[in-house]
Amino acid sequence: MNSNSNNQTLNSAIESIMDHEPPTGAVDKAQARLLDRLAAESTTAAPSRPIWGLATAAALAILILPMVLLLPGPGNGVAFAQVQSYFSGFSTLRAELTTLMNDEVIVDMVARVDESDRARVEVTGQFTIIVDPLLGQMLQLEQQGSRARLMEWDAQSADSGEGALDWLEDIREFQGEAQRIVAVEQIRGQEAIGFELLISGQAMTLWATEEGRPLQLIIQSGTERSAGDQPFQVVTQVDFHFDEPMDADLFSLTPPTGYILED
Amino acid sequence: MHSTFMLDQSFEPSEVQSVAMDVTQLARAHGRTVFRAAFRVLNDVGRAEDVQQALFLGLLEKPPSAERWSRIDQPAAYLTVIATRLAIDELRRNRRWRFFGIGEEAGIEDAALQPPQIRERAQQAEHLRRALVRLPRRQAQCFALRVFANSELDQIADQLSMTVNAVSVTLNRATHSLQRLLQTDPQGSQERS
Repeated sequence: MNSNSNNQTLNSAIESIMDHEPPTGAVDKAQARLLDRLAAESTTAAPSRPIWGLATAAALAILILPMVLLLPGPGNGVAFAQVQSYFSGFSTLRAELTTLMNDEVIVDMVARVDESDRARVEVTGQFTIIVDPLLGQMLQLEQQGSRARLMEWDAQSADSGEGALDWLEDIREFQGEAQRIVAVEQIRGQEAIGFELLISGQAMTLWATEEGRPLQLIIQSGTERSAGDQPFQVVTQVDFHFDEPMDADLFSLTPPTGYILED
Repeated sequence: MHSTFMLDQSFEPSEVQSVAMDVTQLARAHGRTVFRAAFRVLNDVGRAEDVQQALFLGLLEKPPSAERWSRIDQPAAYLTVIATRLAIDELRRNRRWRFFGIGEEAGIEDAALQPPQIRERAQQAEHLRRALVRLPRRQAQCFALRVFANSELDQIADQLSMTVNAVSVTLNRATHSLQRLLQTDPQGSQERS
């Protein structure tokens, strides 16, 4: 198949999409519902959000926090409410995120948030990103090339996750009930109680201490098939560590010694 | 309505000052355009409506800063870009939960009752949508903004916080990948479990 033919196929598909109109009446109905919704919303005060809810690429992992805040609906019990309170009341947080595919580590990341909501995300062997939301600046450090870039922080850059962390959005969508797991586990030497979430068939488990301090989140991506038709299992594990002392230098926007600052 | 999460990714926080923006007026003027833009990508009335509502509710809750809004001289184009981007994310998000069977998508199902030419066009469109969700996120976004939202390279760069050069390179890659996918696996069969 030559390139002209390839072009023709793609162009034809594009035209088909561009020419495809919504069903008759759908646009007007959606428009009417939109205006009704806006009228209803405008009479309600907008809820306040935590600053880290504003999201940034660097803080994608940290998005766990506001998302978990949104997890449970009514009826999830006192225990889960206590779990939530940790996500809103911490002074510092370290989250270690590991994604495994067939037991092989494909993503290894550590995210930290300090008392000023500054965030640092390190992807082992690849890059480090530091965001200072108050200064509105972000420092990117490329570990292999020892190159650094300092740039204006923009909430839009939060969308550079390339899909690897799409599951975070799915958690945020969750409006169902967090089911308490009967069994008790040992997580990092501590007795942990669990809550199961099921989102579109994807199982997620949040483990916490009896006091409600979150310890670990497990996301099972299920068995899928790769391009080579080989099934694989993707599991993401996030370990939470609250209120540890953190060195202020971790959040410095000055490139470390040896790094070349690029424009 | 379940699309609140999308807002954080699409609007800058109005930390200092919000422009005096009449969101309802904007919705009256451009709501239909936004819906159509989302529908083009999603081919699903309900999800297009979700995107439409998420976008305007997002403006209501977190309007762009006055500085940013002052740089937007074509609200319809701006909103179309946002809607397309949200729709691409929604399309990609749905991929993992949806079993793509022949005739499952509304477009193909409806088209089954149509003349062959219309049916073929509906299938072409659906195959492109399936191919789009298999691209890396940035490629899918760049392609959709360029082709479906008719955005200029600098607009895409601004929207996605990329350089114009990076947008150009990403678009090229996306185009080649889509051409290859449409030729080698036009029905997106590798996407099925």
